[in-house]
Amino acid sequence: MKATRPAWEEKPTIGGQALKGTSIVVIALLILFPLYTIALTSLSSGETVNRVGGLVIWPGDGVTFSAYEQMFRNPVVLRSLVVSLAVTAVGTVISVVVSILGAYSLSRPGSFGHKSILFSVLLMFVIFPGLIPVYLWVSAIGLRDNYLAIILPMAVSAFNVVVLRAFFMSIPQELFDSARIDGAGEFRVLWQIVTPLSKAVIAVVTLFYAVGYWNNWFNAFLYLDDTSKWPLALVLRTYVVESAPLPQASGLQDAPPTLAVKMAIVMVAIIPALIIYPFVQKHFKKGVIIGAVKG
Amino acid sequence: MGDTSSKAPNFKIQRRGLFQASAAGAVAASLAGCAALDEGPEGTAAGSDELADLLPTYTPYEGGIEPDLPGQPDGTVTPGFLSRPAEPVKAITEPVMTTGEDITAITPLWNPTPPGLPDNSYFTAVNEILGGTVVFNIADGNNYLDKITTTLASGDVPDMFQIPGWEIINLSDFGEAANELFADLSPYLAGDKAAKDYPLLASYPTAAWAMGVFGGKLLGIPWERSPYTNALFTRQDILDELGLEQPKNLDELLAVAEEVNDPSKNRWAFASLDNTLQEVMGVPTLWKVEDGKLVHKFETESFAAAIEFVRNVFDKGLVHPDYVADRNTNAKEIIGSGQAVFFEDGLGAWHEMFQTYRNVEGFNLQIVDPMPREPGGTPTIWRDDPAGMFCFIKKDLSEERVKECLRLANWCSTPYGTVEYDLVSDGVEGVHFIVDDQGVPQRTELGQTEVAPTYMFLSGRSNANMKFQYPGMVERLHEWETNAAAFLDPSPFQGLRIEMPSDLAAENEPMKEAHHEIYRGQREVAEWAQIVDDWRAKVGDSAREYYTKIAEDNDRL
Repeated sequence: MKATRPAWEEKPTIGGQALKGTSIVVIALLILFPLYTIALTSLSSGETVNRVGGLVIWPGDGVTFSAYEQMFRNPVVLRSLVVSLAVTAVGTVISVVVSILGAYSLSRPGSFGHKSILFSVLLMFVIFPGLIPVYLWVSAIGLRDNYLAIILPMAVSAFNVVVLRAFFMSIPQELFDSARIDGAGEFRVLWQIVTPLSKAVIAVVTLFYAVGYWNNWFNAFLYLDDTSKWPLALVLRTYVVESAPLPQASGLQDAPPTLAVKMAIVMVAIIPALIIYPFVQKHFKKGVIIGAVKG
Repeated sequence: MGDTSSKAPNFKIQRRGLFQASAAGAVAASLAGCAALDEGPEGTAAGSDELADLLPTYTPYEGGIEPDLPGQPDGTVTPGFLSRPAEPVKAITEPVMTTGEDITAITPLWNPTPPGLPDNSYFTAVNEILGGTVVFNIADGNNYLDKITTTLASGDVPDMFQIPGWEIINLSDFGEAANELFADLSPYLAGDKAAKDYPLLASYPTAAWAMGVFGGKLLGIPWERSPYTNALFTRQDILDELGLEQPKNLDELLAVAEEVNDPSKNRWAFASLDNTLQEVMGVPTLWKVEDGKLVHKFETESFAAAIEFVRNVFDKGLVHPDYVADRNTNAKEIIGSGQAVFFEDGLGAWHEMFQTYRNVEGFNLQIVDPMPREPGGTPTIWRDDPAGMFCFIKKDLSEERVKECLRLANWCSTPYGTVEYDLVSDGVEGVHFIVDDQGVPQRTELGQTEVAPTYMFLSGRSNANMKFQYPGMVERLHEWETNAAAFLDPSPFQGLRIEMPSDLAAENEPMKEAHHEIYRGQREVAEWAQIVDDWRAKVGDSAREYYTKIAEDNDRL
């Protein structure tokens, strides 16, 4: 009897290839078209935006960077950019380190408080402590108006810990045994065996954390009273969400239209993620899929 | 990589155990966070008559400039100013902040973020004039409810706290929480005390002050609000170009709409249409009395007629496709680009549109007078609450500190035409703003970055109709308000402070969704009767009972 192969291992038919190609093109357009209109609107003049009455689809009277100029002339935006970069960098380092340590210990049988800690971590998938209890807790430990208030409450994601743990558990036990025979302690095993083998999943988790910190505005809204400490996401949000005229816009004849500035802000907010994703994407399949199904 | 499953920790989660744990956790979280929110208010009511002992006696402020077009003390017509006074009046000469301590404040912001102290010369300058430092905790207005709930739950409230009424309706037991956390202002303001010590606070209408009573105590300094909720606007330049007059009744509105509608030229009659049409039909703001009984607006014949009319307008293709697709679409952009001729919005949208579309050649937006259903008929203009926002002062402050906060509120209440008004609105002349040839303050680049609505939220302020930079707007708005005042809804609850029961409030959005689905042909007009029956069974009858009792208790039925 002739061995049969699964359908996806067969050579695709011409029709199948056409369908696949069309699907990919359509999906790509669905993603690229909104980006294109946002970018084009952010570069359009007031006349074009007013004539169109919304997002610009066809290029109008040339390109202008006035919306970007206006945004970055504002010292509040510049300062918040620095805050965001710092918070994202520090927060991501803290999150990744703590998550790796936690996931590693939870991947090792018999570690201290193993079951109860793992149960607590898994419980976080189904129970959210609620806005007010977290606020009271952050206030009680004196973190109000402190940058740590926008880092510590979101420092550890249960999802990321579980993904890391699952990945660590897929590493052959023989490697651990060999390392121990060579006299390696837990930290050496983690640093010299586990971490190098887990670059893919660590890259993915790092990206998750970094994007999370970069986009998070709500904790800053709750805990940071001083506007000079606000991160970019919160500052830009006030520009995008509010309908009031923007600074440098009211009363000036050559000011860029509000919609263009809002779209420029959207571009600034998503550009870091757009830049980073291609570099991390290659790790995605390996990092997330393996991490998700193992264990 | 090898399979290590046999070496994996032997840890299994039992489904039942997980469920029990999650339920217990949820209860714990709910109890921990029970300070405010889940259900909204059950509803309370009080009449301004019975609150008289708690409230300041209304005393008009005499120290300001005379308006060119007089207003009405009840706020139905806003005083109009046709130009900026040559010399703004200095309204307050006494020192405001005298204790040497900072005043902390949480205020909402619907504008871009200003720099904080000490990097904000606007805050520095105003604080210097006040004689002390106001430290603002500015919060995004669109997420302000989260700020309020967390702050109230923590009990750590600032010295002054601005809380909008539309957020209060989402807070259960707010009156109780407010009485725990905020100072009773009656000992400082009731009767003639306000007129003597805080004359600008005394100039607020009594009905506005009545709204500041929570749990039987005067706790909130009200922000006076115009009674008008919305109006119909038209692109007058397009009507003029087509040789058309503004419509005077419903038939004329339909005729003009059909005349201007021309999708082949990318032009539709309406960019939005809903509430103003209901007003034309005579739908009440919420309740009306028929045969001695309360009838909710959903139950009226006029509401059903409005739905049928608007459905007809949609069916005729007179509505811009963006609004057909999404009732929350930005109608202003459609109107600004000339893709539609009529739209409805709040009165403030008028000058905002001129500001936004000042560079569009020939752009001329005008307000349409209230129109009746038939010639000679009577529309109903919905009446908004007399106050929309409230500033609270922290409880347990010393008497001197409360007085200091009230002096600050009084200072921030100064009306148009005063030096203080300019400082609050635009900062220091020559630094944060300059006055242009038309007499309009224009922010400097520094002012545009640093000045934000903050001090104004430490109180309320009298409304002023003063957008005189747009030719004819002040006069026309004054005329419109004068016309509209005659048609303001004679609500059976006029002057009563009523907190809407949360279950009734919760049904507003589904009912709105339902009648918009009829507009768009997703449901039939005939279904409305059943929708109302269901609503009546769910919340309508119990709400009627609740409101009937209030009406009877206050001799309104």
